[in-house]
Amino acid sequence: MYQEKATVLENKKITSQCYMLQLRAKNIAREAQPGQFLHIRISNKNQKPFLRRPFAVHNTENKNEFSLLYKMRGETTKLMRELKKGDKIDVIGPLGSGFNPSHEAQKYVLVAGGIGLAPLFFLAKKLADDKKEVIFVCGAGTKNELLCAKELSQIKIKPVLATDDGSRGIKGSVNDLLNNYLTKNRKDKIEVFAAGPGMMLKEAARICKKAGVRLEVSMDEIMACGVGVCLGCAVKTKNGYKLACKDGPVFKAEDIVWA
Amino acid sequence: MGVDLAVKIGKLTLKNPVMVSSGTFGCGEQYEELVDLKELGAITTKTITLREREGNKPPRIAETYAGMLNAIGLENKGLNYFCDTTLKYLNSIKTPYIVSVAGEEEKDYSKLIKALDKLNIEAIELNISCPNVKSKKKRMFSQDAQDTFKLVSKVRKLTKATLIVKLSPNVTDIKEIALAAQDAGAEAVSLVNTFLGMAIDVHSRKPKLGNITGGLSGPAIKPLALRMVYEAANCLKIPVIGQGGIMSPEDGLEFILAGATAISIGTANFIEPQSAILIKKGIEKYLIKNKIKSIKQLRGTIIS
Repeated sequence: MYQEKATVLENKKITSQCYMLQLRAKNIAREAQPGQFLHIRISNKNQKPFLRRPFAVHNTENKNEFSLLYKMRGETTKLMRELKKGDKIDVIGPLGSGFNPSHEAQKYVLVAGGIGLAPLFFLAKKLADDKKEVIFVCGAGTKNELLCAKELSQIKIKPVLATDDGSRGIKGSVNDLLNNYLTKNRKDKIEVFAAGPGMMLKEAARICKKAGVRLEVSMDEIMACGVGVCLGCAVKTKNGYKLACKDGPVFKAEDIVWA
Repeated sequence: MGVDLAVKIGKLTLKNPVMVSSGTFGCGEQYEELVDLKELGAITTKTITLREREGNKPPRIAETYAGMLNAIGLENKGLNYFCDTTLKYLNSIKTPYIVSVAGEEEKDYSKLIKALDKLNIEAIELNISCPNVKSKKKRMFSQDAQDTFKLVSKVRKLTKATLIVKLSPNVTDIKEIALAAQDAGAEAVSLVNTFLGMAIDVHSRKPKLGNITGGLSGPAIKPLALRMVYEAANCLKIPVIGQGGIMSPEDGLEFILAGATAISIGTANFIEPQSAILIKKGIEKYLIKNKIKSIKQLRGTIIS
């Protein structure tokens, strides 16, 4: 865990709602693992927003660079959008416990709902580096909101797509694709990793449980400290409350008590 | 040329007056990679209870204007875990620490204090002001002067440790409660704990906290806390540890001018883990600039 002043290298709009922020901070970039997150401090002169905000590590490059993917949501992201090359932001990280793919699976299915793609891209890259077979399932409202098609093709992954309006891929949800895939590939040893809205993760958990497949999910909770002292980001599990910031954000789906 | 930052809280000597508040710093371990713990005046631990507590249902946190609400519900692993595990860590670092304890009734506090006394703990903070846990009486001990007096008198006899009583701001007259703690033998009071508050999500019409209400902290409460510290310090002989929304050296100096002997940093730690150290350095600079040799000379010197 480090606290570094990260330098903005690039802040690029990639869809109507989403941006990619490229930063340089060598310790964080060197140590970050897929599924871990960063706690960034970004606020105006009136200390608004007040607390730090957690963002998944989207990618690391050249040993001292990393990137975040963010979707316009509120005051924090409005301020993030204004960041310019050369600006510095205070980042604590890498934090939390990330994805734990085993070495035994034949196929790794990554299920990204919307901005949930952020941590999964990093995992896909690592798995592809290890010559694993990756099936990357991506979903969005419409085709213009689909993320990182080019970046995925650079790591030789062709995403399987779903959109709510059917403008690209199937008309439906990523969970429809997941369900189809698991039904058609019953004989393979598969592991699934998912990130996205809570309801989507809950449904993915149901599908994977039914198929008898291992699933890890990245949980998005409101946080204050990010390091395990305030105990604010509680996630209900079969073994009592766990912390999204320390025990997670990645959890085994079978351990979660879904709301 | 150095200035003297040391202060005494009961039998405890702090090399500087800036400590970190209960529930905002764990036992220090979680921050050791980011913060030089030796630089802290003291660490007040996360509150422990006799038995393990699961804590409240989420969401437990909501951000508000210049502050935050929390309703953690004193989640902790209980006394035994603390003694077997956390204490080893605390004894391995070179920072004075204060063990915060809470219970639902008097006998919980008594058992906790007896157990800690056996382990020669130097300082204990009685948390009788957590807004998210109800005592058997459906109010906090620190919301009633008699309850405060009775509880503190009882546990006072059970330990040689320095006894600090953490007070709630959710009272009509803080002086009355602070005096009750002093009369019962407390060696210091620590104030304020959080202000009871709430927030509602207008889209879902649900409260933003699972517990519905929670405790408000952060700069939003600083003027309120400062007023209470000022009033308490003016009527007490024992030291006051001032806290409530301190974010900067200036904030901390205000509390000392108002009469606090030491100050404690809470919510600011979440935003800037180095807060306590930065505030200590800022206070030191202020003393040098104003040619004040010792922090003790500054205490309570508000000109009114």
